[in-house]
Amino acid sequence: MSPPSADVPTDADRVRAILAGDARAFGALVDENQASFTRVARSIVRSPAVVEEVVQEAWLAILQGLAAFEGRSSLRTWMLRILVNRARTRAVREARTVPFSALSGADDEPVDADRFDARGHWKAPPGAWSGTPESLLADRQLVGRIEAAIEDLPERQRLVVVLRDIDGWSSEEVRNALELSETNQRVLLHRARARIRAALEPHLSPTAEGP
Amino acid sequence: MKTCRELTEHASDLVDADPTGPEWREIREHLGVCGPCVEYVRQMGLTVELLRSLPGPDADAAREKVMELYAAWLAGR
Repeated sequence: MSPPSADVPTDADRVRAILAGDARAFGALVDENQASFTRVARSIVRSPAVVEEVVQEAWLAILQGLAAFEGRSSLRTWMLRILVNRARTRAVREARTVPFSALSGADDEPVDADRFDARGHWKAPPGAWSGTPESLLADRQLVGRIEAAIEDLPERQRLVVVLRDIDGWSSEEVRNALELSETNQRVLLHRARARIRAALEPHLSPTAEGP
Repeated sequence: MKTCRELTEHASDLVDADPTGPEWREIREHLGVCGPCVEYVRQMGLTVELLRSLPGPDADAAREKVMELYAAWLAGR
């Protein structure tokens, strides 16, 4: 890792600048986090109409709390906790019924047990997938299927895979922001990835059997 | 040596980490002789690559509103 340069502001520098009215500093923070916040809020609130409101409310709460930010965690994880709390409060208020699938999380298996024989060997092995990420993502239907698979995940699996794989957060950042142990985070990520793979399998492998 | 079923439990780790250390030996052995597991791990890797390359939500309109929020907040302090 390269040594810190004089050009890269610390969290404390950024907070100071934003409190002093530096719109560029705040704009940079928004640019870095808006897409991620939107996805996270969408993962919790589920209703698209409410998502934007929740994110706006979170930014306001962040500004209002900024003077009291002590730097005990990174600015990013501190902000995300505010967003997650707002989103969860809102989701409860919207009184959405929790779907059955949301109740599970770390218990399900990555691959259906039926795919293995009694000795644990493949009985119904995965059929080969062809295509590169570029060629596959050019297919809008497939992109829609990936998004649907993410939507179908239990909340905690969805949050972890969105932050880790789509937004590129480190495992440490995600653990801190969502208050998860390393094991818990690893298992949630694994389950999420396995479920998404299983959801794509029937479309990418013509010879494959079900999940 | 690990069974296929056991190996699928590690597929996610294999996407994130390089399996060169001694703790990966059993897994490497299994992958050396099991085509279906190699394919499964490859598919996990491809799934993650697809996730990493997904087009993002349009953040521009929302950004404007957030910047307005900032201006209002500064003015109201």
